[in-house]
Amino acid sequence: MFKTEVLVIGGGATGAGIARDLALRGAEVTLIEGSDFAFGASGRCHGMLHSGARYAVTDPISASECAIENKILKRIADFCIEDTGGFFIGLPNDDECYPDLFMSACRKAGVDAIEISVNEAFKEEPLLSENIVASIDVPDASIDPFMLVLGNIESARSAGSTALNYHLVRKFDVRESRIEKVYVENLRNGSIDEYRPEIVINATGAWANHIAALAGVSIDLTMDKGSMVVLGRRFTHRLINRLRKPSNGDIVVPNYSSSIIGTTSITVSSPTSTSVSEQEVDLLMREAAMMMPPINASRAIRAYAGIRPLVSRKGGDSREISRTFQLIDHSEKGIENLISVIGGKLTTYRLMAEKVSDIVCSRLGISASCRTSLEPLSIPYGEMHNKMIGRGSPTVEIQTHENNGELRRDEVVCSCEKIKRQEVEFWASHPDVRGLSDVMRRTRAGMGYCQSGLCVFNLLTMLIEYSDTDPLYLLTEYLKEREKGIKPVLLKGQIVEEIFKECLLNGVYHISDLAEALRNEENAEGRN
Amino acid sequence: MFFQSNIGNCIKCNACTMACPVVSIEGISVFSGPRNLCVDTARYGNAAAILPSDVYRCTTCWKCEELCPQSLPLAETILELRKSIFDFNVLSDGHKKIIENIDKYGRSIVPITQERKKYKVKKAPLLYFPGCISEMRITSIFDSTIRLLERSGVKFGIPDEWVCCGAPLEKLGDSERLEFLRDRNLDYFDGFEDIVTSCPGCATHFLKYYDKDPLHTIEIVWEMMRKRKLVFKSRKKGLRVALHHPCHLNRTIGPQIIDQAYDILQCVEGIEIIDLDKPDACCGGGGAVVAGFPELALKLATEKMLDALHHDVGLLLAPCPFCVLNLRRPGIGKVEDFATFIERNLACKKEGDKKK
Ligand SMILES: Cc1cc2nc3c(=O)[nH]c(=O)nc-3n(C[C@H](O)[C@H](O)[C@H](O)COP(=O)(O)OP(=O)(O)OC[C@H]3O[C@@H](n4cnc5c(N)ncnc54)[C@H](O)[C@@H]3O)c2cc1C
Ligand code: SF4
Ligand code: SF4
Repeated sequence: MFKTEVLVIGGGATGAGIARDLALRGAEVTLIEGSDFAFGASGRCHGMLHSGARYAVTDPISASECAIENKILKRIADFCIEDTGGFFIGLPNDDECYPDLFMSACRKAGVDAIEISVNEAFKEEPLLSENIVASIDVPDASIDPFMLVLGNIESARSAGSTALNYHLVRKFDVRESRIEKVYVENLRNGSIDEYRPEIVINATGAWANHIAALAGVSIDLTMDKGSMVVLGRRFTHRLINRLRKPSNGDIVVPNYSSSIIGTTSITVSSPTSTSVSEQEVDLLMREAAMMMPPINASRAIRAYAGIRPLVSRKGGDSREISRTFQLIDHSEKGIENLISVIGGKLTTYRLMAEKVSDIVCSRLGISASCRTSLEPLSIPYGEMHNKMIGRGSPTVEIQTHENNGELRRDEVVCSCEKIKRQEVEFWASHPDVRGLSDVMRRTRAGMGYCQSGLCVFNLLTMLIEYSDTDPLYLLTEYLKEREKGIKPVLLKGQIVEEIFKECLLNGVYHISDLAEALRNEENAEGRN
Repeated sequence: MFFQSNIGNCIKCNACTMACPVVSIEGISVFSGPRNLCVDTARYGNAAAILPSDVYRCTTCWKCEELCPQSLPLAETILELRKSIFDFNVLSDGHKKIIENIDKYGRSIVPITQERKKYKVKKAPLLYFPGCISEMRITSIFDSTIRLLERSGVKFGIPDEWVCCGAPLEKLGDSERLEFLRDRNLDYFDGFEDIVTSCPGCATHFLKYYDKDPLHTIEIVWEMMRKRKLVFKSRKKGLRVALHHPCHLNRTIGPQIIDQAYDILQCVEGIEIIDLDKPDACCGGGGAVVAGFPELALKLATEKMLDALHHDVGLLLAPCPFCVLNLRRPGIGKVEDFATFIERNLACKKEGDKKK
């Protein structure tokens, strides 16, 4: 039995942000994440640090929230942000009135948008379509959501709170309109822990309704799937947005070595409906290629999707629902100590956390005020930081020690993404890390164009030093997971790589034969 | 932004890196290899991140490009990379010297022999372009080629004026000067139909930048030998001879010229043709590596010469002035230009002898 003042459920940006905020104000916090940190929408988002411009016309409140948070995050979380800047570009058949509408909406929302000449835009980004008719410069940026979440977790921990991944909330004991006990399963060993929190925060995003149901209340949620395609290279320094009302395939985000095109918007029924269809990939690439023609002939290496939990307004296209977040105090419906926080954006996670923490503190009688906008996040890889600046660019290999006046490279274990051995080593030995996907989320190792085909053995070799799980199991689970994202883009240039990997993994190393043998062995043991 | 559109389909088989002669000498930590340089730089699109000491180590041997199962233009991309960082003023002193020489003398090297006026004409069916090295360094190539052409009975001449073809500038990434030289040469070349050259580097360059279809001396010798215009004397002792396959003959203007060279050798009586372990391994003479990284060039040449030594080769033939020059640097074993060797083994012919 553990006692805690606040139990936060959900280790995405929102939950991690709340844990950090409360911890900095001196509350006693435990954060429970059922999978890995950033496993949900946070890790499956577009990685765009909004300037607010995208929402200026359709959702001015969101826009001004983003405009403020954009500046704050660039200050407190610069280690996981590449301040690329962004362009909004108009194409010939786009609504002619939109640019003016857009500029005035940006002004109203406090977004620093500057109109620039088409020629200037070309000079800066030569791969843009020759047809562009308008271009506007905005302070969008590219953000690494995994590192953002982990930075918040790290900060929360160093301020004294507990954060556990692979701990799933299974059940509540509700007594006299209060959640008395929370039953948490430790997925590492199957044991059940009991918590007695004073307040429970439900920050489980698309799963929010599921958690509410455990307490016997409900939330009217729409689930909106957004799919993204990862291209194996960068095309621009900046984020490129289409200057029109938000629609499908109108953003290209440069992300380390890759570009991410997004998104679509399809209503789905479950928080785990994250498979992407080939049609979606087609649509996204077609739309993005209108802005940047070389995308047509480029290779897609992966597709993935995230679920936006949108608090319903009945009917209508799901893109119309405001992105601004919802705070639901369930005391009105009969549960005194449960607060759900849903929606918002990665960009506004801190603001959401501040609002939630204000309420929690007033209930707990804590008078400390919010400090999250002033104090920089702890960097998740701590003292390793200096050695890792510039990760995800060829320079990382280079910024190394001088040797006879020559620069030398450190050993790189994932050569697509230029990830160094020390970095993988650091995370492989970290107590949060269980499987290869966890290593990948933290290092990017395996995210490149070979989609782990070659580095997977490097990663595995390092991980098994610290893991009791059967290596073959770790390997096959991981590859299965990777496969899901590769399938929809096979015909977009990835197929030759996959055939080569198949020859390597199964023709040379016989991984699937070995895995089958392992399964048979287990079955035989089971029967005995 | 560095953009090479056709480099994105790498499957990471690493055939290129494994086969790269510079990787094998320097190790991946010093020369990161063709895939890393070409494929990944294109992915990050950041020309500023290219290390000059990395990208200028490539000898442009074209081995990687030959092997790539995805047919990616790797060596070509290395040249593009050099172009994209040329303006950052990254050249080493050796490299700068090449440019200085070209600006001063119109040649990539400092002239140390007298220019020979004798064959200079304004008009001829065939233009002999000796190239900087044959004209000024290994002059025997120049002399032998002239005699070979005379003996073959072709009507040829050397243009009144000419400047370096520009191949070394391509290797340095200097595209502006390169165009300037090309335009000048094209003026001088007016009045000639075909071009023959002793240097595979020049030939490749004419093919790529001058929109010409140049010949290498071997092609003319082969043709004339078939027409029985060139006949060889027989040698007394069995000389052990091996042929080095210059990269820019073998992999850029065409492997058929290597076959022709063997055809010709087979007709020289009294020599024993020896196969090297790696006849097509790069000797290190190309890519402006000799100027930029002389030690690397020396190591590559040494490997080649040890291969020859191992097979007890008495004479290594290299149909390329740059290769001959570099292969002589280690000072192990004898190296001769192909044309020179052929010319010295011609049987005496009545009219042909007058010039001797
Ligand atoms: C397609 C898409 C693109 C987006 N792009 C952007 C963008 O570019 N920029 C931007 O600012 N925002 C973007 N967003 C929005 C942003 O991703 C989300 O607003 C944000 O990540 C929400 O974080 P969260 O913590 O609320 O939810 P999540 O990240 O989903 O976290 C919920 C967590 O709860 C955990 N959980 C669920 N059930 C349990 C349980 N029973 N016990 C314990 N834990 C549980 C889950 O495992 C999960 O980790 C995008 C969203 C989507 C869907
Ligand atoms: S051209 Fe030759 S030296 Fe250059 S990278 Fe390719 S294999 Fe290596
Ligand atoms: S040989 Fe071609 S496909 Fe193979 S790793 Fe090199 S560049 Fe990639």
